[in-house]
Amino acid sequence: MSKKTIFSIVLWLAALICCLLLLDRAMRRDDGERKYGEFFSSETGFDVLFLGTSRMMDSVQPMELWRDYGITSYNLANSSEVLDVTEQVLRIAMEHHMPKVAMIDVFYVHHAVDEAWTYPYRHMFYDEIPLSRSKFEAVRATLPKSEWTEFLMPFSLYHSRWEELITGTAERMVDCEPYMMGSELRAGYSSEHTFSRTKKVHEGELPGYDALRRIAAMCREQGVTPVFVALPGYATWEEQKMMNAVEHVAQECGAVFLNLFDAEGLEIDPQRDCYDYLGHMNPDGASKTTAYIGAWLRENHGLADYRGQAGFAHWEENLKEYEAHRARVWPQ
Amino acid sequence: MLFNSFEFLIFFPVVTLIYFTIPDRIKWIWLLITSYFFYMNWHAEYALLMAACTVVTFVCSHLINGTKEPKKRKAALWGGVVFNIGLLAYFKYTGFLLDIIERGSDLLGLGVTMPKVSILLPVGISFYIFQALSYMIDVYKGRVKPEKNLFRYALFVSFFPQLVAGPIERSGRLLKQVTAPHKFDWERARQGLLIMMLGFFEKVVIADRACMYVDAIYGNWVDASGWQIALATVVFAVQDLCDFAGYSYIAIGSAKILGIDLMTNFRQPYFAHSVQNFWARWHISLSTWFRDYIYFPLGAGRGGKLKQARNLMIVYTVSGLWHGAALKYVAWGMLNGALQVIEGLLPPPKREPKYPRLNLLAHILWTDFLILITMLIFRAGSLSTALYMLLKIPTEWSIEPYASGFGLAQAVCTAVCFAILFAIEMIHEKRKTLTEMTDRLPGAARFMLYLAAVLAIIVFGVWGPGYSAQAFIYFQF
Repeated sequence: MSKKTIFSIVLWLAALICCLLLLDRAMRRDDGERKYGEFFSSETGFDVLFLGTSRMMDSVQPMELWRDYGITSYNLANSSEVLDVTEQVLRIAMEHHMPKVAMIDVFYVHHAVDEAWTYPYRHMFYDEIPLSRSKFEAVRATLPKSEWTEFLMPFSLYHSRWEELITGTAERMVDCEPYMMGSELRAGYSSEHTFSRTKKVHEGELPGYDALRRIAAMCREQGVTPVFVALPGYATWEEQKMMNAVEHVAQECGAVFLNLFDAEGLEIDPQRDCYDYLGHMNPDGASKTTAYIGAWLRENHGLADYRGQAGFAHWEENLKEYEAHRARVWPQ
Repeated sequence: MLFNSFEFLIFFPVVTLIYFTIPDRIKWIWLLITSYFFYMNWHAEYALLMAACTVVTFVCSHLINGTKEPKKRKAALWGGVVFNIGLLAYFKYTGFLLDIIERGSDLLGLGVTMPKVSILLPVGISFYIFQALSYMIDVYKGRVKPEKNLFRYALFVSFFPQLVAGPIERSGRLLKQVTAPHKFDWERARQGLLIMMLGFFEKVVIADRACMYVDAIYGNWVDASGWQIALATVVFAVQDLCDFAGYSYIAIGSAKILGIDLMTNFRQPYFAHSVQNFWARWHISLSTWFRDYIYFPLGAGRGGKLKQARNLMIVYTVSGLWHGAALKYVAWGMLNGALQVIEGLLPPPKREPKYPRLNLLAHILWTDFLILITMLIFRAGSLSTALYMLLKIPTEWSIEPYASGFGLAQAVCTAVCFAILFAIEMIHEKRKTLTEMTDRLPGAARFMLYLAAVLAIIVFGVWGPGYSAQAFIYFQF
């Protein structure tokens, strides 16, 4: 083989790799970038991280925490996220920014890691992490072997998105913008459903307990305070009983348990404050919950107020954009 | 291991790289090891079957060659044939035979209930058994000398590029090639890669996409309109060609890179001007196998048209059974045989056609029409379903079409691919190769063309887990 041929082959392979990298970026869903992009690119870090399911994603607005308390936080919670995945999200998040407090929504304490219907949602976070040992460990810990390829090499999945992209039928997975710091704002009321509270406790082990124990241990190791949170809103008695039971696990592993169903001063009316029967909060409900959590964090953890400090000017810019966005979504 | 899998994309370059770097004397051993590895990736234990087939045909061939007594030679030959056909029959036809017995007893009013069996069909068993049988028969006929080394012979039976879907090679061509050491030749490798690229295009871009529409319509034929069934049958005809020919191209291309020439398996079958001509172009390695080992021994066309018709019907009935263990395959084979018998009975044209090209086109279209009918039988769920579907085409042409879920973008993509395939088939029909065509281009244009082709296969190919927009729509929490 002549030198010219070898050069041509190398050049061709290089061109192919470049094209594939470009295609990889172009074909991916942009939900992950909008949701997690600010977290991975931030230089100032975050004192509080919110993790868990979409109930948490819709319930806490980091920009309102900033506006009212000057607390820097990021909402890493995601749709259909089981606690085993939350553990991996927190582990990887702590490699980038070490928080002081990690608040974990326990709504999915009864879901096991291998519930296949939750797999597609894991893409949003996993796709945003570059291929690394951490990513491999996260994928290995939370997905069956048959799914590894599409999570470690998302192009194997997204290359067939061309139809959606050509026809312009791609739909958003989350209503989130980079300046919202990972949270979501969705409008609406769910007045046709009813809610009743129970304080009964589920007996016996639940699939998410082990993950909660590991999360608590990991937080302690890193000097982070773990807070397990039961968020108010629609929930069946069974779901409430299972969330109530987390108190025992929290005691057992030295974590704080914050059951906001019974929080004094937090008046959540699911019919007025949720936009659907699944307990997702609308902007009103989110503002009430965020205000309560902000006061609780200030009182119990004495987190710093960064407002007006050098290096945090972009938070103010984000706040303006967030408020304009909120006014558009929720004009009343 | 499938050709269109990640495993193969790693396996093949590694095999090739090592093959061309190790000493010549162990090259064939490397190919044997990797061929068994390739096969064992599926169900490791079924490699024993292939090994058994190899040993039996090897021993029988030596028994045949070791004696001059016709009876002993014949006994050894039949011993090998019975063993191998028995193996094939057990794995492929047990369920079918039991079903036939049950149906037959129902017809006679005996009401015999046969047990329902579920036997996993070993991948490629029909291919390697036919290849091994051809070797043994060739030894019997004195066409080839038996191979002395069992392991070299084992490589002939198991050579991985053509192991699971052919082409079914003859020992005279392949045995020496696979066991001889080959040096790396960039020009051969380039040609091989181009052939593989064509194979991947046909398999993952055309066949696997066309399959979505065909499956949707054939799976819901009761709700489909006549024109949808007709269209799905045309699409299936292309899918079937691309699926099989694509796989063959990948086999031929990968063997070529290793320095081994495999036979052409498909030669533009839909440009055939008669059903007989179609079978000279479709799955050539199997057609010629049947010709050489069944049709000729039966007497071929000797003894008059009636005997020829009988022989054709036998060959195509067996061919139908080879394709699958179901009545519809038997019917499909018999119909193909019958069409050829009828063609043979038709008187030749009395004078040259006035417009030869138009005449040829008319013959091609008529042949394709006949082949499409056979294809419908081949693809339908059963013989009775096929008959209902055939009836539905003219009678329910304009009823409300079934919502197949095959979007406009998918349809446009498929149509464009069909057009590209047609152009490629035209090039091949003119006895030109893609390599020859692309070699005429300037270097930079060739560079870009290859790049665009690979990227198009990657993006538009049906591979990987399959993206479902529905799975990503946020409806849960």
